[in-house]
Order: sequence, then C-alpha cells, then structure tokens
Amino acid sequence: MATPAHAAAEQSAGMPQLDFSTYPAQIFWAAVALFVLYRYLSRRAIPQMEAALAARHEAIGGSLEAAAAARREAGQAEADYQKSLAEARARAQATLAEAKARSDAALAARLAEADASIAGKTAAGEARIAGIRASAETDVRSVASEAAAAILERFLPGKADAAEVSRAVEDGLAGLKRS
Amino acid sequence: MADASGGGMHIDPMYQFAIKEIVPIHLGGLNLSFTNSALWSFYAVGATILLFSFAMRGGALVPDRVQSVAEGFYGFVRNMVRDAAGDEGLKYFPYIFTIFLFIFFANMLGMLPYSFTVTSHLAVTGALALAVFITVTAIGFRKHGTHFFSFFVPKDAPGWLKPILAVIEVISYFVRPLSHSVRLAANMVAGHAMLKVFAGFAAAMGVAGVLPMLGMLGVTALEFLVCAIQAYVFAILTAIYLNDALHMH
Repeated sequence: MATPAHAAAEQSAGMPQLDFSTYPAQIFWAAVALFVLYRYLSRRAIPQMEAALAARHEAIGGSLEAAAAARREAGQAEADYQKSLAEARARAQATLAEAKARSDAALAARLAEADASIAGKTAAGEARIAGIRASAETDVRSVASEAAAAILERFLPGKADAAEVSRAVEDGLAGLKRS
Repeated sequence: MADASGGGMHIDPMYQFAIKEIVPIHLGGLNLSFTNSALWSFYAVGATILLFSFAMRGGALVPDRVQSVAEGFYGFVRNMVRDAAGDEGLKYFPYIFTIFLFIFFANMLGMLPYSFTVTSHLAVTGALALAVFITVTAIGFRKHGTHFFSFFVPKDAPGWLKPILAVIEVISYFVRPLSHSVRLAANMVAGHAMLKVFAGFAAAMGVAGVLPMLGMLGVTALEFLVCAIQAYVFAILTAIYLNDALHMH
C-alpha cells in the first residue's frame, strides 16, 4: 500500500495473484460488474426469455390442441358419413322392397284379372258349346222324326203315329249314344 | 522465474496476470483504482448484455441462431439448478445464472491475445466463493434455524463416531470456499501460463518452433474447453451447496 502505483515490471518475479494490495480494487470492481450484470439479467434478460419461452410453449400447445380438435372433427365427419351412408342404404333397400312388393301386387292383380277373364270366356264358350249341342240334338231329333214319319208315310200311308215315331227315334238315338 | 532478470527474448508467463491501474482511485486508505481487471470485468458483463439484448431483441417464436445460443445458456443453467437444487432452488436461479455468465465470459475473453483473465485472480474467485458460502449458509440458517447444525452430524453414524465425523464435516464445510475459488483461479492461471510457456518455446526454437505451435493449437482448444467447464463447475457447485442448505442431506 506504500506504493499504490505498482508497475508490473517491479513484481514480475512474483505471482500477481498474491499481491494483496490489489485485492480491494479487484473485489470492488468485480462486485460492481456483477451487480450490473445481475440487474440486467433479473430485470430484462430473464423476463424476456421467460416470456419468449412461454409464448412458444403456448403456441406449440395451441397447435397441438388445434390438431387434436381437427382430428376429432375428422372422426366425427367420418362417423357422420358412415351413418348417412348406412341410412341411404337402408332407404334404398326399403324403396326397393316397396317397389318389388308393389310390382308383385300389380302382377298378381293382373294375373288374377286375366285368370278371371279367361275363366269367364271359357265358361261363356262352354255355355255356347252346350247350347249349340242342345240345339243340334233337338234339330237332329226333329229331323230324324220327320224323316222317319216321311218314310213311313211313303210305305204305309196313314198308318204313322207321330208319338210312336218320335219314341222309336228316341230309342234309336239312345242306342246310338250308347254304342 | 529463474531468468527474470534476462532481457530481450525473455517471456514471463506470469506477466499476463499483472494488475495495471488505469484510473487511480483512492478512498481513504483503500486503493479502489480502476484496473485492467475492472475493465475486463466490464467487458465480460458487456459481452453478456450484448449477446442477450441482441438475442432477445425480437423474442421470436422460432429463434434465430443468436437467440438459440442465449436460450441455450438459459435452459442449460436453469436445468442444472433444478437438477441440483430442485424447484425450490429455482428461486435463486438469477444469482447462479449471473455467476455462471460472468465466469464464462471472463474466462472466454481471457483467451483473447493481450487480454486479461479476471477469473485468474484469487481475489475475484475468492470473493465470489465467499459470497456464495455466506449466502448459502445464511439461507440454511434462515430455513432450518439452529436445526441446520444437524447438517454436520451424520444421522446414521454410531454414537461414538458422531463427534469425530462432526469435526470432519465442519472442516470440509469451511474448506468449501477455498476449494471452490482455488479450483477456478488455478485452472485459469495454469492454462494461460502454459500457453505462454509454449509460445516462448515456439519463439525460441526458430523453425523447429512449428512443433510447440502445433502443441499450442491443441492446448488452446483444450483451454477453451476448460474455460467452459470451469464456469459450469463453479455454477453447479454453487447449486449443490444451495441444495445442501435448502434440503440438508
């Protein structure tokens, strides 16, 4: 402390680290420098850093959340789609079944109608055939009686009895029918 | 040191550590002159402030390179404090961050040619270590009261061994600031002095000086590593001492 302005050359033989006269100045200015650094870091740098990191954390978290929401939405859309697909399919099946039933019914009705009309026509035809046969039989009978009466008149004039002749013709016709 | 009187080519490896007054200041009997040590302390602080204010100028969501570096420092020290001292220790993170950055940048700036390494002086590292020691002890007593004394008595030791172990524990506790400070200062002095000695060889050996030059290349790289590691060691020891005070054993 006796020589405050110690030139370096004077103490080149010793370790400057062990020159205790320089200690107060070193410690004082190091403390000042550290205090300045501490104030800067605690007041500005660290809060800024924390804010930036928090903002990043938030942004990343927000993005992740948005992604999760989008995924949920996509899943919902998929489910909706599947549901509407199933509904449409069911509706199509129902429509198809209904159309089939309607066409079946129409077909059955048309068939029944056709059957009925065919049956009616058959019945009418049969009736007409029966009528024609009956009238034909009557005509045959009367023609046969007349012919027999005429033949008898030729061979035995005045002897022919109309009732007798018609009975004989009946018998003959019955015999014909039987044979 | 033997050839301290030699002139001309002589290189004193300790000359780089000399304290030189720039602005003499005397308060009473106290010499508080602004020295090269003070200047380089402020250079270290200025470099730190420059890095952080430039890095955080935008506070961007996606950091650029400089911001990544600053955030790397922040995350590295913060994780270190949390790992060593728990979430409770994070309250003291700004202090440890300050110490780490100051030592880191003082060490690194000391690697510049013609610069001065603030942390090569026991005055600075000793003051830092003592400040840590006193603060941490005060935290321990404030948190645990007189119960903090039980920190020196191992719980599981047999009764007759306890007094002996307590003495050892107390001694090791009070040696902490010494080892804490000497480790840093000695590393800086040894590394820088060795670089200087190698450089002296290179100058003295002429053409063959290429060999010590190559050696210096490797040693310089190693010295950068030591600069970073010693800052880390000082900071993590601070965090570990803090953990001892907060949680005892």
